[in-house]
This record gives sequence, C-alpha cells and structure tokens, in this order.
Amino acid sequence: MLLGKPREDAGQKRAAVAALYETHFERVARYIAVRIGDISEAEDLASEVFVRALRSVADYKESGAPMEAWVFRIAHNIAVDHLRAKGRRPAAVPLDAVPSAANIGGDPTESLERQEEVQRLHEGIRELSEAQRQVLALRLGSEMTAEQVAQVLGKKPGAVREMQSAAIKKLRELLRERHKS
Amino acid sequence: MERQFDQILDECLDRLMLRGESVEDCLAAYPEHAAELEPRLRLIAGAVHTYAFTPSQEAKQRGRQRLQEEQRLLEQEEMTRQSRKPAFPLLTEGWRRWATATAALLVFVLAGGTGTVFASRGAVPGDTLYRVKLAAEDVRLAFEFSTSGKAERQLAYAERRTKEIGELVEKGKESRVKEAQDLLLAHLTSARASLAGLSGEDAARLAMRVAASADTSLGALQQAFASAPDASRDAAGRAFATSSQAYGETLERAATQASDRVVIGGPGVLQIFAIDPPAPPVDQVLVEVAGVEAHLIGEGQGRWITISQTPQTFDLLRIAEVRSFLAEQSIPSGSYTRLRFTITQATVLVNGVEHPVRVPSGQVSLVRPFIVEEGKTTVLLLDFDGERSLRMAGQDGYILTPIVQVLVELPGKAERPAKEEERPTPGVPQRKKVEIEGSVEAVTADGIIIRGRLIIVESAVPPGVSLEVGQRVHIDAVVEADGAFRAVAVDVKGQDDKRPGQSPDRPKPNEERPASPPASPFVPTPTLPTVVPTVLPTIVPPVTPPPTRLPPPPTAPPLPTLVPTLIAPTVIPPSATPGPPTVPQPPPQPTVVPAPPTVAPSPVVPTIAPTVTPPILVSPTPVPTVVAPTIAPPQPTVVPPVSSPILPLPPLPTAASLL
Repeated sequence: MLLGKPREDAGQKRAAVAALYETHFERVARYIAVRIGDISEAEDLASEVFVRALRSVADYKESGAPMEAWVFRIAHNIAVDHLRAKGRRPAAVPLDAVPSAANIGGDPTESLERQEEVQRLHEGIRELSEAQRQVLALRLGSEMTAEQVAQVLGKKPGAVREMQSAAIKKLRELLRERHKS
Repeated sequence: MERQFDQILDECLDRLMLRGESVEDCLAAYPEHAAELEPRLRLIAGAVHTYAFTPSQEAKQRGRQRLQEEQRLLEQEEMTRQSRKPAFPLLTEGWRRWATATAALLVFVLAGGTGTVFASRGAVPGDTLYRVKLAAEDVRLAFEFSTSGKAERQLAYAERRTKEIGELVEKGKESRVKEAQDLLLAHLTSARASLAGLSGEDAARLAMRVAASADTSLGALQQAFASAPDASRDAAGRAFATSSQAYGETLERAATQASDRVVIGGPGVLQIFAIDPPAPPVDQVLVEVAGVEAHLIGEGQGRWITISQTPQTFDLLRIAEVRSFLAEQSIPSGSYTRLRFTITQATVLVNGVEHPVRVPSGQVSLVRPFIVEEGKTTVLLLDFDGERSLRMAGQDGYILTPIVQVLVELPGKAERPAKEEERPTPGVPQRKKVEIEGSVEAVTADGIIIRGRLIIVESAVPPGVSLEVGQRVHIDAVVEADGAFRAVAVDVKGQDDKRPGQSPDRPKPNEERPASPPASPFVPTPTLPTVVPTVLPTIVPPVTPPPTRLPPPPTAPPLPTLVPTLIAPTVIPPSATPGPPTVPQPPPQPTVVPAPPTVAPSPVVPTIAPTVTPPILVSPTPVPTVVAPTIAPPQPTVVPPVSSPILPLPPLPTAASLL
C-alpha cells in the first residue's frame, strides 16, 4: 500500500550519514591525519569517507554500536588504502606545511627543530603495530573514550587500554632513539 | 599492577584530551605514579597538539557538496528503478503529446487560442474542453525549468484536481471522480520525484508548500465528502482516502529531505472523536480502542507521539450524530501525517444477546496529514464505516475490520492568515536553532569564538555589555543555510575562573614566566604573521573596547624584528581561556610599555595572548589551531564537553627586544 517503503528507509539512512558528516567531519579528518601522518590530505580523505559511507549505507544495519563506529571503520580502510597507494614513503612535506612561518616570526632554527620533532612523531607512530596505531589515532583524533574506541575496533575496553599503554610506551622509546640519532 | 596503571593512564588521557585538564592536574591526582605518568602524558600532549588542526571551512564545504551530489545520484538511481512502469495509463506519453499538440494548434488557429484555454478553466473531467485544460497545464509545465518550480506547479495542479473532484461530487458525477483522482495522484508522484533533486533551503521551502497544499486540498476533499449526495459519496470517500495517503507520503518525503531545518514548536492540543456510521442491523457495537498515536514529522524520520494509552470503549451505534470523545492530549505542535490505534476488542449486541466479534487485525494505521498549532486545538473525527466494518461470519459470529476515515474538523470559515511566509507555521522547515554555552575564546570583528566555532553576534549582544575573552556565555543561535552560526540572544554568565583547555605547561598568570621554552618537547609552531589581527579583541561596533586593551597593531610585518626568541604571539588556542580579565596589568618588564598613540608593533600582552585568530581567517594551508569539538545538530541544547588540547603558550618576549 505504501509507495516504496524500502526506498524511504534508505533515504533515512542517507540522511543519517549527512548528519554525521556535520558532527564528525573534523574528528574523522584528525583521525586520518594521525593515521597517514599528513594533514593536507586528511581533509579530502575525510570527505571520501563519508561519500563511501553514503554509497554503502543501504546495506548498513543497526547492530548495537553507534553509526559513528561504522564510519570510523570506513575511515580506517581509507587510511590503509591511502598508505598502500603511497607506498609508505615518508611524507615529502612536513606536517606543518607553512613555509613562510618557518622564515618569519621568530627563530628559523627553532621552527626547523620543531618540524623535525613533528616528523619524528610521524615516523614513530608509523612504526607502531597496526593495532597500536589504530588505537592511538582514534584516541588522539576522534575525541573518543577507550570504551568508544573499543566499540569501533570490536575489542574489549580493557584490551584497548592495554594497547594504548603499550603504544605510548613504544612510541616513547622510538622517539628517544631517534632523538639521539 | 600493570592493569591498574593502564587504567590510571587511560583516565589521565581522558582528563587531558576530553576534559581539558593539564598534565599537572593529572600528576597531582596520582602523585604515586607521577614519575611514570609524566613523560607519557607530555608525549601525548605534544602529539595531540601536533595533530590538533581544525579542518578548514572550505574543505568541509567542498565535502558537503560532494555528499549532496552523491545523494542526488543515488536517489535518481532509485527513482529510475522505481518508476519503470507508468502508474496511470492516462498519462502515457502518446496521449500527452497529442494533447499538447492540440493545444498548440488551438493556440495558433483560434485567434490566439487563449480564449479557448481560458474557457477551459472551469472544465471538469467529462467536459469537452477538459483535454484543453490539461494540455495548457502541460505546456505551462514544460516552461518550468527549475526543479522546485516544477514541483510547485505540480502541487498547484493537484489542488486544481481537488476542486474538480469537489464539483464532480457535488453534481453527482461519480464516474468521473476517478479520472480526476488519478490525475491528482500523478501530480503528487511527480512532485515527489522532483523532491529527490532538492536539498537544503529548496527542500525546506518545498516542504512548506506541500504542507500548506495538503491542508488546502484535503480540507476541500473532506468538505466534498462530508456534503456529498448519496450517489457520489463512495467516490468522494475514496478520493479523500487516497489523496490523504498520497499527501501524507509526499509530506513525509519532503520533511525527510529537509529534515535538519524542521523545528518542532511548542505544544498544541489534539482531540479525537469518533462519529457514527450508518447503523448495521444490530443493537450495539461496542468497540474498545487503545494505543492512539500520531506521527510528527521533522528531525529525520519524525517520531510517534502518544495520544492515549488507556483503552476507551464506545458504542458505534449510540453516537448518532453525536461525537464520542476518544482522546485529548497536549502534544508538540507541528505537521503530523499519520494516526494509528488498536482496536483491542469488540462485542455486538443483538436482541440483548452478546455475540463475540473477531477482530483479525485491530491495528489501524491511517495516513492523514494534519497540523497542530501551538496553543491551539486540532480536532480529529474518526468516521467509522459501520456497514463495511462489521460483517457477519458464519452462524452468529461477526468480524470487525475497521474502515475508518480521519476527518479534521474544519474551522468555521476562518480566514487564512494573509501571508504564509510571515507566519511561522510550526513544524515546517525553518532555520535550525541551537543553544551554545561556553567561554569566549576570542573576539573578532565578525563575532566571537567559542569552542573553536565562530558565532556571529552583531546586534544580539545586550547594550552596555562587552564580550571579553574568558567570559562564560549562553547563546541562542540559528544555523544559517551556509552553516554560519548567528546569535539571536547572548547572555553573559560571568567570568570563567576555571581554565579549560589550558596547556599543561602554561604558567599561572601571575607567575614569573621562564624565558626558555616550556619543558614539553613540542613547542608551538609559529603561525603566520599575516594572521596578526588587524582588529582589536573586542566585539563589533556597538560596544566600546575595554580600555585596557592595546590598540591594534599595524598590518606591517612587525614580528620578525622583535625578538630573537620570540615565537609570534598570535598562536591562538581558540579554547584557551585566559586568566582573569584584568589582564593587561603592567608587564613585569618595565621597558615593555606600548605607547598608546604610537601603535605598539605587536599586541603582546604578557600574560595572555588572546589575539584574534578566527579559524576562518586562516590561510588555506592548515595552521595548527587547537582542536575544538563541533556542536552536534540534533540536540536542542548544546553544552559541548570541554575538550581541547593543550597549547603551550609562547614564551614571553624578552624586554629589550621589543623595542
């Protein structure tokens, strides 16, 4: 009797994705930035995440985890695809790609130092295990608690906390090593 | 032990990243673990800072457009899939083309044809000139080039069909009603298809039109049905029912499309009565009705509002010409599209003997758009068709399959409000309202920044009030079509003593500041000096700047020459609230005295640097500004969690170098 009922549900789901875009675009962008170590591409990739979500939302089913968890999984996939495509070479451009800032406004050597530190952070993060990187990226980028991160990754909160601690510990060691060299 | 530390570390991370506390705060909370915690927390603080960029509005807008494009494509795909078979043979291409050609011919041949077209205006199905009327409509439609224009025209034509049905019913021309009805439905289908291509303001406007049009049309159809002579009563009822359904679906579709702009208004009242049908040959028909709900559109797919939960019993026959009261409830005002209820049981009395009645499906769900206005009462009448609802089954059993019409009690020729646009019809799309509460992080010419978001305040600030960094404010705002926040009312709540979003290494305001960079390995990047504000950190025009602020610096690049160790003090944490407002006390260094008339080269305020860097002014290349949570649209009241990371403030310029 009702015209095209399944169609309407799909439309509602798409509207939900559009709403999620407004609230979560920044977080997804930051998450991707941490994952790929590059801010300049993060914004475009973040849009890509939501476009993909829109395309596949027809098959999305409410399962208990909130929709944002699903979106972050898509973000994870896109980050992974991107890194694979780039061949995991170190980013050619430093994180804070604002060349003029390095020249003006203070001590040039200092800002260079800073850029190097940032670079080291990137590389350090990249050397973590995939799981550790995921946890850290979600924690740093998306403003989620450990419980929420657990939902995205399909793990227990306790496990997430362990991985988090381990990731931070390892990152510290990696950075110390690099700092020496 | 490990586990415990993991949890402590996790909690500190929450404090640091989600609650805006400092590393010191965490260490103070867990002194026994301080040695282990400190390096880790500093590491994370630095990392957060590194990745704490705010994506530019342009990037977000680009993404938004991509999403909308994608949505349109997907909907069109669906539309094509669905609309393969033509619903009404009357509207096959061939007939249309013929009719249009004829109209064109008439236009040319018969003295411009306008006379004939004009004469066809009053035509109804069955009249010879009716085809001309329709053809003229087609021609007119063909000249509508915008999607929303087409949709609106279809709605207008649907209303015309309504009038025709009214006439036909009145004249008892029952057989023709279906023709007009089919055309009406086709118009609505086309309108719905056009809806798919709209979004944002267009969708919102169209949704308003649909609601108004539904009201007009269904009112007229209901009227026709109510006053129909017996010959055409059935046809009128069918036309009314199918149109209710079609309008309801169109309205829901429109509301979904414009869902973020629909505002639910204050409460109104809904009353539901049952009115009697022609009596079947029994003495009493007792019907128990429970679970009455109405569907309110808006906020995505809308929601069901409970009207009544307690079961009510009434006799379908006793209520001859009298309304039997079913329910009354105060509910949110707005546009409703459906009503549903359950008939839980029924009994029939014949010659004093009770007979059971089987109710195979007691769930009744009806599509009938109606509007409830704030502070007013809307009355619905449930018209049970007794003859067709109750049937005999077997020897002495009965079956009740409720056939119900929902009628909206029409006001007695009340005058419609003059301009639809002026009166904010509740429940139809408007700009979205939000409430924002937080600390003023920065003040710019365009507005103020709270939680990293620019809010245009303009005239919403109460007179005599000057907004300053650090104040806690409560703002009622609307979200414009372009995503900008425009304040409607600003309420200053006081000064912010707690300093959310403070950097872990930021010294307390009155302390001596070390000349060397803070202990964190990560030092804030110098920002572009072009971002040096040309505006005083005050609000827009009406308010006089607080006298203690420094006059604006020149736009010339002043900074580089200043200080060897200085990092441009324009790094602005939108969420770093400064200390007490009595900020510009004379800086410790005696030589840093900016002479007011000769503009100081930099707005260096020693203890704070709340210079203005609205994220929007930032150059296209991302500058690391501090993360700020965005305000989530669905919630009416927004109090975003304090969550910003941490930005160590730049070190104080050494005195001598300032001059």
